[in-house]
Amino acid sequence: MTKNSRRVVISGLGVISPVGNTANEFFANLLAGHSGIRWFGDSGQVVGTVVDFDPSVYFTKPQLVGLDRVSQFGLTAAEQAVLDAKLDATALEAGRAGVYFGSGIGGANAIESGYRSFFDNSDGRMPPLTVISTMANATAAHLSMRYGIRGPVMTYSIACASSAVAIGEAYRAIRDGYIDVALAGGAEAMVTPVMVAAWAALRVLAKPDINFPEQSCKPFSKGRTGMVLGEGAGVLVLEALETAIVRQPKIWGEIAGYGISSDACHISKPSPAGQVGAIKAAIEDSQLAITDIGYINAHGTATQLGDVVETAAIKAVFGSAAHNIPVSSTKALHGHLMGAAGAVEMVASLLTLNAGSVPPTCHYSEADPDCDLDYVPNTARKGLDINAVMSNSFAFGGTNAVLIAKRFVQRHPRLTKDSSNPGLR
Amino acid sequence: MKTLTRSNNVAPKSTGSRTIAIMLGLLVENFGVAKEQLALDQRLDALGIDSLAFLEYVFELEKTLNITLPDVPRDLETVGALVAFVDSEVKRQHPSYSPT
Repeated sequence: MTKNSRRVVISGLGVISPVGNTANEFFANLLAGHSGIRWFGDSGQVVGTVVDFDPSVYFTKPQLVGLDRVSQFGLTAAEQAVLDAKLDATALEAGRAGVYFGSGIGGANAIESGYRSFFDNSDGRMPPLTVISTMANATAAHLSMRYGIRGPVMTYSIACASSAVAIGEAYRAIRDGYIDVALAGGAEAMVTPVMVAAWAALRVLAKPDINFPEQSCKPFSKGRTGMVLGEGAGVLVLEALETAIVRQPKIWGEIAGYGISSDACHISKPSPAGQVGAIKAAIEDSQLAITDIGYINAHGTATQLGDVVETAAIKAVFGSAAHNIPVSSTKALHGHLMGAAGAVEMVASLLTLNAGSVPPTCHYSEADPDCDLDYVPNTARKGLDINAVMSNSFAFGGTNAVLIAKRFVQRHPRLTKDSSNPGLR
Repeated sequence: MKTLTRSNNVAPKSTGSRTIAIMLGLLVENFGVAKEQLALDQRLDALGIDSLAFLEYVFELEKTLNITLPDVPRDLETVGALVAFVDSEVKRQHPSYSPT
């Protein structure tokens, strides 16, 4: 198997998010500009929380023992993706399958409960399953067990780029022939009192809009004040084209390129050069022209500096063409899902590719001279003919990950359901 | 060290049948065991109580019964065996409570 010898397609999507717990609901709310940002109790902060998620609908009581909220999200989104891809358990068990998963923190709720129990009680009583609920690779391990996946089961904890890297690495593993199919994505559930306070202490959170708290996150807009923490999960089924073609699921797109770089300069301050490196690498990997990119889902956290740096990086790579590309940050509506952000936003990008409808950058009120791209302010743009989309994920720690997907075009008419392709082995 | 005076726990007022009721109730409420499956001669693993769930079960028993169970014998395979052990610990750790 030679490098770059196989095409990698996306055959399944799953989402748990503050604006919807299915991919379709999620995307419809993005297009409609419905925000999932809410007050976080009486903390004085706003967050993007997952609502209408009752674990007992998806899990039995024994299954919930030791299963943190982050793993509940990940497993539920994965189940959606597996069903969407028409994958059955036999295929995953028998096939050369892997799990590539990202999370920034892991089981934040479990570790917070553990600390609370330890410090609040004079006996130092500790819930016995704190370790296995908290560990960053718990969700990936549960996915492996649930579907009998015995290939590589990988966890990437790379802050905001975790799940973008997970998808990118799964793409490479399939493209290069190491596996045939992967559950790729990420989950995060760190909307807890301590984590919200920790992020607030870092002074990067948006100042809540008192009158319209749901509008507190204003990416690329003058007057933006910072990011909003969110939670959720996104999972994609990635597979080699020759295995997908046998089952004939809906193919949402083809992974065209993946680029990764590191700023190597600051633990939290973004670097234009680092972001340019990742964007260029992804475009080069895709073998597309920059004019083929019809939509960019920006990292767009709504921090003062981050949005300026990302704008500069896009312009540095795309030149004058940058102004012709719709760029939007859906974080205005769902918040920053951290380790899940790359996957959830890749789902948004893929649905944009399929629908020809670009979700807006909501809560945009006034142009910032340093952010001068077409951010699709406040209203979705529909009826576009989009051939390729790009999703940016730029992490604390300096890792930059960029994914490009293109519209799936069947180039091998002889590959039919009756062909002799091996399918999942 | 654990104390026996935690305000958020309810110490049993009697042992025996009360211990059994609490233990079986936790199996139903926390671990989804069907009531019709409950029997003292039933094996815990047959009820879905694997090694990790067992740890969680013991943790809940400690909280609910206000006892410590640092050394649960590993050969307690049935509900009844565990009930007998836990009930003996309740009586040992709360000798003032009158048995049923």
